[in-house]
Amino acid sequence: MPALYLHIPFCAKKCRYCDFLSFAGCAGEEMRRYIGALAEELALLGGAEGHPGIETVFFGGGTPSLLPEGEAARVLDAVRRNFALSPHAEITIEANPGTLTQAKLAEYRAAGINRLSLGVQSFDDGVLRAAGRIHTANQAEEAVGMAHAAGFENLNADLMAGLPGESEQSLLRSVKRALQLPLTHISLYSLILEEGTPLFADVAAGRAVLPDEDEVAAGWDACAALLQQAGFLRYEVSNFARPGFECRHNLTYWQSGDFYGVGLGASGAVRRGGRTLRRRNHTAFGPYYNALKAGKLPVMERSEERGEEEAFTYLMMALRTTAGLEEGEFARRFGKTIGQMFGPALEKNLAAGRLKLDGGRLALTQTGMDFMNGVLCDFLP
Amino acid sequence: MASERQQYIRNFCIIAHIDHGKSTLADRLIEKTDTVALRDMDDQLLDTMDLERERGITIKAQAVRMIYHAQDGHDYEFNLIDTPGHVDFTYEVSRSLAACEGAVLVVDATQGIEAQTLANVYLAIDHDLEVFPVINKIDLPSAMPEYVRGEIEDVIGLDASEAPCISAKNGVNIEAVLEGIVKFIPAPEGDENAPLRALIFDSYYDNYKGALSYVRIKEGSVKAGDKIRFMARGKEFDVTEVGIFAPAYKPVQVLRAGDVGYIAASIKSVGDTVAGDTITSAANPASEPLPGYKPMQPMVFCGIYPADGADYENLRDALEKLKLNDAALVFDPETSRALGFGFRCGFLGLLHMEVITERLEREFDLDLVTTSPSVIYRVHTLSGSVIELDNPTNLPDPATIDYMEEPVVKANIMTPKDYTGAVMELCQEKRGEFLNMEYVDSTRVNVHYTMPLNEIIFDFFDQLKSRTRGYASFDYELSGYQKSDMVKLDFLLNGDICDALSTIVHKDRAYNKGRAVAEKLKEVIPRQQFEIPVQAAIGSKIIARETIKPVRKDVLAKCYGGDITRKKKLLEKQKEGKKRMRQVGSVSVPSEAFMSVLRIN
Repeated sequence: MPALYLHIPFCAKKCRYCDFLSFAGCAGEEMRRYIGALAEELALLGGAEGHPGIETVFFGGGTPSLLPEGEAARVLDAVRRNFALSPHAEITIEANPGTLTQAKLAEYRAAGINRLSLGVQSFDDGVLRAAGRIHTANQAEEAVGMAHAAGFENLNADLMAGLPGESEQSLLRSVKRALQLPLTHISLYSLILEEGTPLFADVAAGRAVLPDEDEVAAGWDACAALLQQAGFLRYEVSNFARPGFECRHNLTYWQSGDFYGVGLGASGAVRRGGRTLRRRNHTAFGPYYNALKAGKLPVMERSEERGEEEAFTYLMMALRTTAGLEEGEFARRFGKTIGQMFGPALEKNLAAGRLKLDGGRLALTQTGMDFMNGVLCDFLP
Repeated sequence: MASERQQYIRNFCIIAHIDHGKSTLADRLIEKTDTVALRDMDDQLLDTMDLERERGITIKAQAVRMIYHAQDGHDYEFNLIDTPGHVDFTYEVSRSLAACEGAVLVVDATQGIEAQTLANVYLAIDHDLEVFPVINKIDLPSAMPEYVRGEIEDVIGLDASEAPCISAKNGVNIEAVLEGIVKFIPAPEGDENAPLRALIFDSYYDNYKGALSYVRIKEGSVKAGDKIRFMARGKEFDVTEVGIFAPAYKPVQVLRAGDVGYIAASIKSVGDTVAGDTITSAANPASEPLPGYKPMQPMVFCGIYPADGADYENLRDALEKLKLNDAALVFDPETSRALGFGFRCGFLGLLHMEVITERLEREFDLDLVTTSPSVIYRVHTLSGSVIELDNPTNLPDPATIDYMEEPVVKANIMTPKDYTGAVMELCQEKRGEFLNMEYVDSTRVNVHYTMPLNEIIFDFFDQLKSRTRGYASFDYELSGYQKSDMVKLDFLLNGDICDALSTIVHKDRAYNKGRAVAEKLKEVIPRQQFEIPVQAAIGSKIIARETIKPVRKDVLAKCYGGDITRKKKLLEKQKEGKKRMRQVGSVSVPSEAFMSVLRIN
């Protein structure tokens, strides 16, 4: 069954490294208007798709927890009215520790949200400040406690390696502190310095200094080891979970399952008739609202993938997971084996020890995971 | 004695230092004589290549015929032969001069005489040309026409009392130039009834007519249907067309002694119509060819390789096309372990090399890797043989070498006297040997040095300009070979010699250069999955070392939800970059890395 992504493009303040589609400084009224539009899009999409079943819902952002009280529940109502939401659905909401209240947590629980993903990034206040985060380490810790107390048993914290001011030691401290909290899932990302962000400009102008990339890599590896010891298994490049708490929504992306994207700039992909149909929504409010006002889906661009291109995307996503992909599934999907489609790249990387074949599954080795881009370049059609 | 017809012909060229306004003056002359309709005038008509226009230099000689109605009531036929202004192209200047009776010397009223001016004037005087000076740019506030007039007389020794003061840019006093050409430049001579002797001063490949010979008829005449012979090689062709430069090719019945024009004879290759050769009649041949000029010798060599190995054939085609119109360009296939298949190319100088590589990249859309430029060294082996070496890779085992010689030039630098110290310091740094110096006038000196050619082919000119705030000018001529302590400097990546980076340097330079290049390589070679030692070596002796640390990770931390296009684009970019990498042993080196160490001296 498909997954459903809901984009909430609002933040209290933009973090300096962020290049996600999100806007700071929007009043509650604007957010309510947006949620109204989101509900309309859900109605249109649900109707157009024949009210399909939904297995996972993900409120991403932006900062979905910034929404005024009652709005998240309103969105889920619209989801239930227009889609066949599974009773066992995983429903996640992303939250900023600085925006959470007990009232909101209670509302989320009541609306059926059963997974909370907290943007913690670091437990070092200096690092948080430099990154432009709106919360402190203590607030993050309290937020986890509050969420747990409110009944959230499936709790994720996002941590980030490579932020300015961070050392291998401070990163390890952050992970250790996270491990003392009642979390079931930890994402440990490395900072990607994106062009166009304030941080990019700061680094270019010498106003900010990023930690040495070797130190970041060493720190990340040390943290990963620590997490594994603590029972958080690495199941994707940057994601660790206690067994049974892997994020089902994200697994849908990595396994190239169908997903709908609703909201500003959201992407969706479904497989129909032996090819993948992709679409992306308008990224500006004007055209997004106008399309809905006219009773049309707010799609900005559509594309179609088939053959090698489609197979490559499938590999690119699946190889992010430690489980990799099943050869038989690949062959069923594309009518050819991986060897038939990507023979030289496959052999080269198997021989180099970057890929491994084990019981019919193809996956990256530990080293292969570190040099995934190079492996994928070999497969790129 | 000039015949009645010849009395109304003037064949001349314009000589000037770069930027003194040669092309602009040429345009004004063309305009004033209504040779080209005003609406067809493009700025600087004679510089037809984009590159020439951009750099403000002339690379190829060009010719144009004009009709001038003079104050004496007669119509004069003017043949203007344009000459390149850069030292690299002296041979082209020399060819053009041989086709003329006179030269218009353009001197910038704000700059005065420069080294290039002197070099070209002396060249003109060597060819027995009458030199008619013109003082240009009098519209500029800083113009000092009378001062410059005195300078022309004192420094060059020309009578400048009748030199017109003009502004080619604003079209001021152009009439005086036209009249001066009639008055001061001699009419051509030569017997129209003698056996044909036509001097080839250039050739050009035309897609329809074949290789055209640009000629000055010295004696006799030629017309379509004649059988001609190229005296140097003895090859014969049937003339299909003769014509003039109007400035487009315009066929005429006949070209006679004194005329400038072209001869088309279905010639397949410009190699058959070599500038300097004499064309005569096959039926009634002249007994002696005209004095030719020295064939040009390439002085600077480098390897040119396609950045993407798949472009090798395209590169060959492009070089062959350029060669059609540039006899000075030479190339031979070569292979490099690092760069694969490419060509060893010879050039007249560094500018010529830059012009060619730029044209290859622009006009043929090629991405290139060029190796370090080299001059021709003479290697004397213990067995007594002499090897002329244009590629450092081919240097024999040092144990078998008795001694080496390197080419040297006589450099002439003209500079305001306040910068004399700076100029001499630069020349010393470049291993120059002071010859002498003289005052040009009370403010400027002319400094003469003997310098190794390999020291001036890199950044000498740029350095000279920057150390004298652009005031010094420079000219040189090859003056022979001198014994020198040269060594081959190699660079090793992870233990493997990268042949494309090998270079021959003076022993005293090796350490600095080795260190600088190794540092640069560390900067430009991306980190790889293993540690890479970068070493500079003379023979087996390591003189500098850097280390490129291994990269720890090459993985994208986050895939942006459903947006896979970004990630894919990133990978595509990475793959594109890989295609431009060259393999040196186990190390991948980006094509750009080879280029970036070129300029280090």
